[in-house]
Amino acid sequence: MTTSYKCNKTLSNHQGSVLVVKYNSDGGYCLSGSQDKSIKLWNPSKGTMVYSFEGHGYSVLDIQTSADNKTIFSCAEKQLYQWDIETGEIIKRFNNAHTQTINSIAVNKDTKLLFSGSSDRLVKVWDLRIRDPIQVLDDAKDTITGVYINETPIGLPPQQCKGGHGGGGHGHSHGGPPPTMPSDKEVITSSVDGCIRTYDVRMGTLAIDQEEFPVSSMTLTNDKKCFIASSNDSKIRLIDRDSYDILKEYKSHVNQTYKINCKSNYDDSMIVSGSEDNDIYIWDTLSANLLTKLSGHTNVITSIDTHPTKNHFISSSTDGTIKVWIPSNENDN
Amino acid sequence: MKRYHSNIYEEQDQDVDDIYSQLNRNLGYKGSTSSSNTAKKVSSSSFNVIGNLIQFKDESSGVLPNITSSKDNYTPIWKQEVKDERGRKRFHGAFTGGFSAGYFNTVGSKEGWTPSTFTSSKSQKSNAAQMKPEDFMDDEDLSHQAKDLKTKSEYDLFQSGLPTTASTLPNSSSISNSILPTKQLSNIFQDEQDSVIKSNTKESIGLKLLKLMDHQKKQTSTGVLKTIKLENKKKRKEKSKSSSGSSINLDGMEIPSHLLAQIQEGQEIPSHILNLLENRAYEEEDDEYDNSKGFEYQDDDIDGGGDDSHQYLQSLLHQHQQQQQYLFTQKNDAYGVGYEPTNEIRMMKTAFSNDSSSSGASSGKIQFDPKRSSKGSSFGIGALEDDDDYDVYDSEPMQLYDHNKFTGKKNTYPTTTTTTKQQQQPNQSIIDFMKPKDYDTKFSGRCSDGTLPLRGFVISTLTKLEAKWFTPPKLPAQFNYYHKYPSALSKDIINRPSYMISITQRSYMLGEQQQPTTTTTATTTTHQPIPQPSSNVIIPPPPPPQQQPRQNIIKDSMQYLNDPGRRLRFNEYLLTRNNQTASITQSLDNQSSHRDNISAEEREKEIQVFKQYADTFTPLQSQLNDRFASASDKPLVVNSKFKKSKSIQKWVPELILCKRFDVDSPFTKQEIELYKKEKEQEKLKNLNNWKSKLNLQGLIVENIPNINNNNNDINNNNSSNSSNNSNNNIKDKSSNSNSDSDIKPTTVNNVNQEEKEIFVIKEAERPSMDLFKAIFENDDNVDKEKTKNDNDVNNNNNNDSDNTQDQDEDLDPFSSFVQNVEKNKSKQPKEDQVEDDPFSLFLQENNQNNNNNNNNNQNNNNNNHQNITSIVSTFSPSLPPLDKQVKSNQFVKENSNETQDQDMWEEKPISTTTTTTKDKKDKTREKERERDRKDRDREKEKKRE
Repeated sequence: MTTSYKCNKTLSNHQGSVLVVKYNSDGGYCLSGSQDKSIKLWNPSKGTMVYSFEGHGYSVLDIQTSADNKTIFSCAEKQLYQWDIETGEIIKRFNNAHTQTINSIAVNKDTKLLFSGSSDRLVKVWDLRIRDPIQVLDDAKDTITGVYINETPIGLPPQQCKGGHGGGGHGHSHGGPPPTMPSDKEVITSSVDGCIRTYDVRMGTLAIDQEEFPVSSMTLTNDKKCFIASSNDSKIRLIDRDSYDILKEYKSHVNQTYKINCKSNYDDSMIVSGSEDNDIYIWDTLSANLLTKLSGHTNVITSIDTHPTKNHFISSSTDGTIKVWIPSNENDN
Repeated sequence: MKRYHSNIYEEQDQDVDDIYSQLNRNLGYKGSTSSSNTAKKVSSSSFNVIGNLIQFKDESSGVLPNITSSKDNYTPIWKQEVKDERGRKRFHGAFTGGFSAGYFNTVGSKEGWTPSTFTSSKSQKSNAAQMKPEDFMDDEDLSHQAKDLKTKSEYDLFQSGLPTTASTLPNSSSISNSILPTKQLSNIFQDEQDSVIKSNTKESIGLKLLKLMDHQKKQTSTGVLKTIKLENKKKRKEKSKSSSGSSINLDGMEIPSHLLAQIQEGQEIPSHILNLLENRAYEEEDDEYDNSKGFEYQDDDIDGGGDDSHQYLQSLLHQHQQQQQYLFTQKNDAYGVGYEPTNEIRMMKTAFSNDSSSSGASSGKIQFDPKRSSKGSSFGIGALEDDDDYDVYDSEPMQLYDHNKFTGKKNTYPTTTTTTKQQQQPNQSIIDFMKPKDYDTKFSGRCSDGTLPLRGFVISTLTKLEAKWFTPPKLPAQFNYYHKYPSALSKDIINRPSYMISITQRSYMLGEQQQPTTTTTATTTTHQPIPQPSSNVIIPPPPPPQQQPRQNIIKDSMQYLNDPGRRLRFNEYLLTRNNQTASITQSLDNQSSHRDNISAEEREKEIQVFKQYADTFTPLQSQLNDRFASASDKPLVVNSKFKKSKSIQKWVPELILCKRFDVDSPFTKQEIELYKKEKEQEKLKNLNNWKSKLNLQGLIVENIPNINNNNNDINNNNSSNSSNNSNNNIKDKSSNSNSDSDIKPTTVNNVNQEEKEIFVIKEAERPSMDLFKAIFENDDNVDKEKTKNDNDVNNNNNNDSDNTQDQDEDLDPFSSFVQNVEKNKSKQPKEDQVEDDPFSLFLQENNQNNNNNNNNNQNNNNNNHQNITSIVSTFSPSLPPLDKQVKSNQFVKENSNETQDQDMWEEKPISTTTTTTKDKKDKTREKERERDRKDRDREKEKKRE
C-alpha cells in the first residue's frame, strides 16, 4: 500500500471556495461546485478545465453525475438543477424543491430518480419525468446531511460489482449486473439528529440507526457493508450495517465546523478525509491508524473524492483550488 | 389725420453728420456713384409708402411697441402684472411661484381626469400627424409659452423656398420694434414698376441682406448726398436772393415755386414727408431749412416748380433715406439680434458701469420702488386673491430677495428712501435684540451664514478650526495599571476567571448535581455535572433574605469558604454526601495541590463545619431542585435522543417509487393507502400534541410514534397488534376499553400498554350523532365557544396560583354548554373519546407508572375509573386543579397512596375537557379524511393518465 502521495495537478479556476468535488462515474473527469455559483468540469489528469456550468444563483453544495455521464445534477441553496453535459444547458429545474438549503443529492443507477436531502429535514424523491416529488421522507428530526442510494445486486460479492453504489453515481457505466438480477434498493440518509436511516424499498422497512453524534456526512464503503460517518467531533466512525456497531473510529484530524466528507478508496483499504487544518488525512481502514497526511492546500478542505478504480484522490478547499493526488511512484500521464 | 410713424424719429437728437459718417464706416462705403436710380424710384413710387402704419395694440397686451413713447406708456417688466385670459392674477407652476396651480393644486379638472379613450391608429397611420409639444399643452401652458420661437421662414436657410408676404414682416413684433426698416428696405428691392407693398420674398434673409447691402452701395451714398446738400444750400441761398416771385415766402419760410408746382402736380403730398419736414423744422436750428418751414404751410396753394426744387426734394428724400439707414448701428452689445434693450435696461447698464467705475456714486443706481417691490404685486396670489386685504408677502420684504443682477451683491437701500427704513425697523429691533450686549464694532461681523451672532456670542477671530492632535500622556514608568482597592480583596475574587460561565459551571452553581438524589427517576449514567477543574467554584446561591438564622450561617460560610482551597474541599464534601464518588476522584486529582496545605486535624474540623453548612444548604438545593425539576429533566431527554439505538419500522414506499426502482412494491395499494391514512392521523396527533405538551411539560407523548413502530416490528409481543390488521383489533380494544378493567390491566407490561393506547389513538371511533349535532347545530358560535370552553375547563382545573392561563373563572356559558352536551351524550361514545385523546393517554400512562410502581394500588385505580364515569355524567366545575395533579404525578414515587387517590379523582375532569377538544378533532379528522380521499382519487386518475 502506498503511503506517499503527491499533488499531481492543481486545478484553480474557481473564483471562490470550492465546496464540493466529485469524480464522474468512471473517474475520467471531475466536477466541482463552488461558492462562485459555477460548476466546473475538469480533466484531472491533464489539469484542464473542460466546461463551466453557470446558472446557479448560490454556492453549489452538491453535484451528482448520472451513471451514463450524460447529465449532472446539482444543488445550490434551494435550487435543484439538472444539466446536460454536452450542451451545458439546464435541462430541468426542480421548482420549490425544498424550503431550506439542499445539502445532499443522489441519483439512482438508471437516472430515473433523484433524491434530495435538505435542511428542512425532508428527503424528497423526484421522478425526473414528473414535476412534483413522488414521495417525501419526513422521518428525520433534523437536517439531512447525506443521501445515498444503494443498488447493489444481492448475492454477488462486492468485487464483482464495483460500481454498485449509487450515492456518488460512480462506476455504473461498466460491469453492471444484468437487469434480471435482484439488487438492493435502499435509500440511506444521514441526519443531524444522529440517525442513519435506511429505507429499504424492496422490503418496505425503515431501519434507523440512532448514533450518539450528529452525522455531518455519511457514505458507504464500496462493499456496502459499512457506513462511514463523520461528525463534527473530529471523528469518523465505521459502522457495521448489520449490527450498527461502531467498528472503528478515525481521529486526529480536525472537523468541528464544516461539513467535510470522507470516503474510502476503491478497495476500501483506506479512509480519506479532509480536515480543517488544511491537510488530507488517510487512515488504514482496518487498523484505524493514520497512514499519512497530505499537505498542500492553504485552507480548509471541504470535500474529498476517491477515484473509482485507482488510488487517486481529489480534494477541494476553501482556498479555491482543487488538487489531484496520485501515489508518488506514479508518473504523470 | 392718420397717425404715422416713421423710424426716423429714432435718434432724432443725434447729429446727422455724425450719423452719416458712422454709416459710412459701417457700410464701408467708398463709392460715389450717382443716386439717380433711387431718385427715380422714389419719384415713381409717388411717396405712398414711406414709413409703416403702426398697429397699436391693446393696452392690456403689456409691452407697447413704441419705444420712443416709453416714458408715457411703457411699464417695466417688474411692474407689469401678468394675467391669464380671464384677467386673473394667476401664476402657475413651481417656477412662477404660483398659488393654486391647476385645479386646486391638482392636475385634475372639475370633471376629474378622464383619460382619452384608446383608438387604434393602425388604419390611420398615414394621417397621423406628428405630435408637437403644443398638443400636450393646455391654454395656460400656451399662454406661458411667451412667443412662438419658430425660425422664421426668412431666416430659415433650408426652407427659403416657401413664400411669405412681406407685409407680415413689419408686423411681427420683434421686427416692428426693431430699428430695421424692413418693409421699406424690402420695398426698395422691388422692381421699380412693382410698387405694390405686397411681394413674394422667395429669397432667404441672408440673400436678402446681401442684396440689401449691394443695393445700399449703389443707392445710398452719403458723399453724393452731401454734395447734393451743399448744392442745395447754395441754390437756395441764390434763390432766396434772386427769385422772390417764384417762391412763396410764408412766415419767413421760402419755398421754391418749382417744388410747389411739382407737389401740386403729384396729387398728394405724403404726410410722411410732411411730418418729417415739420419735425425737422422745429428741431433743426439750421437756417438752411428755413425754406422748408415755409414749404409746409404752403403746400396747397403754392405753384411753381423747377429743377432746383425737384433736386432739393430728391435730396430731401435721400436725406430721409439716409436717416433710415444710419439706424444700422454697429452692434457692440451682447444682446440677441434684433433685441432692443429698453430704457430701463440701458439705465441699469449705465448705472452698472458707473457703479463699477466710480466709487459708490449712487446717482446712476436704479432705485426700485421699494414699496412696490416689497408688496410683490407682480405675483398673483392665486387662490387667496379674493381677499384683497391680505398681503401674502407682508411678512418678508422683497428686498431680501433683491440682488443686484450685475454686481452680484445684495442691493442695499441707502437712506434715501424713508419707506425702506421704516420697513426695516421691525427687523432691526429683532436684530438689536439678538445683538450681544457687549456688541462692539471690533467684533462686529456676521457669521459664516450671514446671520448676526447670538447674544452673548462673539465671532471668533480665529478663522480656522484646526483639529489638534494631542499625543496621549506618557505614563510614569512605575504606574500601576491595576486598580488599588482600599482593603485587600479576597483571593477568590482576584482569581475569578474573566471568561463566561459555562453551562456546566452554572448548573453546578445552581446545585443541580443534587438533582439525582431527589428524583429517583434520573439515570445516573447520562447526566452528571463535571466538577470544576480550577478554583472558580462558587458556593450555592444565597437563601431568601427573610430567613434570618440561615442567612447568618450563610454569611459565616461565605467568610469561611473564602479561601479557594477550602471551598474546593467543601465542594468535594458536598459531592461525597451525594455519593458521587466518580466525580470526586476526578476533582481530587485535579486539585490535589490545594489539599496538600492542610493537616488531618484541620480537615476534621473543616468537615464538621462543612457538615453544618451542607445541612443548611441542602434544603435550599432541594428547594431549587423542586423548582427546576422539569428543566433538569430536559438534558435527560436530549441525551436519550442521542442514545445509541437501532430500530426497524414499517415504511411504505410509493408505488411509483418501486416502479422506478424496478422492484415490486412490498405493499398493496390498499395497504399503502391505509398507511398513509395512519400517517396523516399521526401527524394530526403530533400537531395537537402541543396542547398536551403545554400542560404536561412534554414528557412522554412525543416519543409515541417510534415506540409504536418499534414494538410492532421488533418485539411483536402482542400477536394481534400487527399494524396491517390493526383495524379490527382497535375496534375490539376500544369496545373493550369501556370496561374498566381493560384500561388498566394489572399484568400487561408497560410496553404493551403503551401499544394499546397508541392504537387507540390511531383509529378514532366515530362518535354518536348526538355529539355531532351538539357540535354542528350552531356552527360558528359553538366553535368559538368551544375554544373558550377549553380554556375555561382548564381554568376550572387550574385554580391554583400556578395556573399558567390567566382566564376568567366565569363558567356560566361553558358549563351550560358542556352540560347540554353531556346530557345529549350517552356514556358509551364518551368513553371511547376519552381513550382517544392525548390528555387521557398521558393520564393513562401516568396511571401505568403508578401501577408499575404501586401494584398494590390497582384496586384503587379501578375504583377510580368507576368513579370517573359517574363524574363525567355530572360535571362539576369546582374540581381540583390540573396543575396539582400533574405535579403529583411527577413525584409519584414520593407520594403516598392517598395522594394517588386524589390523583385519580382529579383525572376525571380532564377527560371531560378532552371530550370537547376531541370532538373538534374528530370533526377536523373527518374533513381531513375526506380531503385525503379526494386527493388520492385525483392522484390515481393522474397516474392512470
